[in-house]
Amino acid sequence: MKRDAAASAQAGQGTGPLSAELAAFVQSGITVLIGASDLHGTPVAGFGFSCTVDAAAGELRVLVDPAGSAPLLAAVRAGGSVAASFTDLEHRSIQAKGARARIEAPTPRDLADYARQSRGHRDWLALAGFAPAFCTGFVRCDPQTAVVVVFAPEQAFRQTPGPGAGEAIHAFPDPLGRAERSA
Amino acid sequence: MSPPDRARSHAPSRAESRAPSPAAEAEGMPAPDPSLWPGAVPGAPAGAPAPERALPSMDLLRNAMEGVAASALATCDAQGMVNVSIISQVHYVDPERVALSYQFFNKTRRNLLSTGRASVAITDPATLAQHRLQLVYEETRTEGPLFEQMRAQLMGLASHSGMDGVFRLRGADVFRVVGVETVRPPEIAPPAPHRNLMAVARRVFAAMAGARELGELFDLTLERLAEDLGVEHAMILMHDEGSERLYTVASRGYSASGVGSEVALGEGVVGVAARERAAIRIGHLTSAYGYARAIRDQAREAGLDWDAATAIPFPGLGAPSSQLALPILRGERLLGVLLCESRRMLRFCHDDEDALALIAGHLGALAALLPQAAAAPEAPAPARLGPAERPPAVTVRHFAFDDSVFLDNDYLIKGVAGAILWRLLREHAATGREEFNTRELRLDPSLRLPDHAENLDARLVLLRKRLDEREAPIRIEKSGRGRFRLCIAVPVELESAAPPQA
Repeated sequence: MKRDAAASAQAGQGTGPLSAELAAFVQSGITVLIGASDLHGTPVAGFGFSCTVDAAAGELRVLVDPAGSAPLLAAVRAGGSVAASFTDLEHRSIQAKGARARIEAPTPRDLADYARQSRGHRDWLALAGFAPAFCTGFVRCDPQTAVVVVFAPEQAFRQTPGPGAGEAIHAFPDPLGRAERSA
Repeated sequence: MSPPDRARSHAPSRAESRAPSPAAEAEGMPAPDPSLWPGAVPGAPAGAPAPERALPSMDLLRNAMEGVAASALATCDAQGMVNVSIISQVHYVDPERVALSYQFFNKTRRNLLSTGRASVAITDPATLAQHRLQLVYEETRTEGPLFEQMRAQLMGLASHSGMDGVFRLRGADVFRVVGVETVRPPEIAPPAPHRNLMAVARRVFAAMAGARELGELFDLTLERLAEDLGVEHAMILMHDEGSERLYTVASRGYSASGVGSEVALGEGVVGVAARERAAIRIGHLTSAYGYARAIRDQAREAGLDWDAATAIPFPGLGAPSSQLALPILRGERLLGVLLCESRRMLRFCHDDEDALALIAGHLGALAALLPQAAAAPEAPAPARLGPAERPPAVTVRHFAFDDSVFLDNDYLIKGVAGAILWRLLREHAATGREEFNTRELRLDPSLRLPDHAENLDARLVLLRKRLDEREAPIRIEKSGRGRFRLCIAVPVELESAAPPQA
């Protein structure tokens, strides 16, 4: 709990290549995707449910439902690389990558963030026109069985479609393309 | 539900997954070793031989491939660093293949060219069922039916999501599916279907069999689509092989019939479906597949009045949210296109496309057979009007350069149908003849008719409908098998004319 309190105080801070603004973005209740590679270089794609930035540890913590994620978690356990992608309703998107990750049980802060972010994500999906049952179900993850994939984001990239997609974030003064999107 | 219960996997068969990929090899891609797929069998160590087990057909998962719910795509570079991104399009190709859109030369693209492997996670928006597909790259198609189908869908998605001008399809990357896992079983009961599409197709086929001539077949088909399939807006266009255009012969559910309106090959969903001989389906409103209405407006503004004067407005919905254009084929030959439209987004799903493709195919088969079918009942000869009853004369003007025909100053028809009418009227003026047969028209070299029987029949349908719609004093009636009658209610003056100068 002590660590959770400290982490909570740092919620507004960035970590690694992610600025405070980007840290807030990835925790804002948007679509979280996760991918992993096994030691043979085989990719595995999956869905995440929320993200918590642990600025003190310099890590991202992506909540995952282990049901249906066995290959992804096996790849993480085997020491493969991990990436997480974060996309909002306006297609603004970034990706963070780590060379390796570990799997942990969720902390109370992870679960609190999940509760808050899933509500936001649900509302976001409803705004996009999805049926209520889909919105509620899509963001549902059982806190009793959820796990967290934890990794230090060594690289981050802009993924918003258009010019600059794929560029490393440190090379971009406007990584989310806010200025372009509002232009 | 425990994780092992929910993570049902399907491993690729050894024979299937070991097959070399010529396309991949051609692009310098290493042939992947399918035994390395992680988690193909829960608990199996990487590299362990996979058991022989059939993969589920992609037919069963294609509701998750409508571009409704976003999908996750993961690839790896040669060093094993994974890349994950959100994608809007996982396209059903066939029971064993899917395609992804290649829009940008980005990290995903570089990884695919380097390793040839991908993993996608898809969601069925109706049931919430999620599946992970393990993919091996086969080839990239930059033209042809698949490319155009994906391009149409992508343009609709781009327009719907405010990304017009950002999404641009460079290629359709085709992948063989070598592994399928259930990430999440269905959690929502799918909506009860409104109808059994197989039973509907059977009923529509039975109704179509009752048509005695081509015009009746067209009208009956559209009527059954509305009654049995709930397709309220639809039209049939036939292909003019000479001009490479399609002309509307029947429509239903529009404010104007638009019979006689034309679409060029490659123009709009109709023209693309015709050119590619493939179904083109769009689930969202997009301006990328508009028709020539705007072009005609521009022509009119520029003073090019001839095109504007002889153009019949295309009858389609002004802002359709869903469109499905299906080629009407006989073998490899294009007869025409069936276009279905709706104001509702995502009105036509894969299953609708299948049912309507069956109906379009049957329409093509019957259209070819009908000229030899039983004759329609003979219409009695019309009663002749006495001189005192006759209304004023009508002047029929013919412009030879495009065979356009005007009744007084009003445009009626052009092309082959115009040439047919002009020939009939001239012969009537010279000899007083009223009864004609399709055989003599077919053999008349001046009409430049293509070889196939339904071309003439379709044009007679078009001509008859245009005359009826205009309530013209000239009509064409079927008078027996392969015969028809020219009915003229007023004195007719014929005038060969030169086109006005632009």
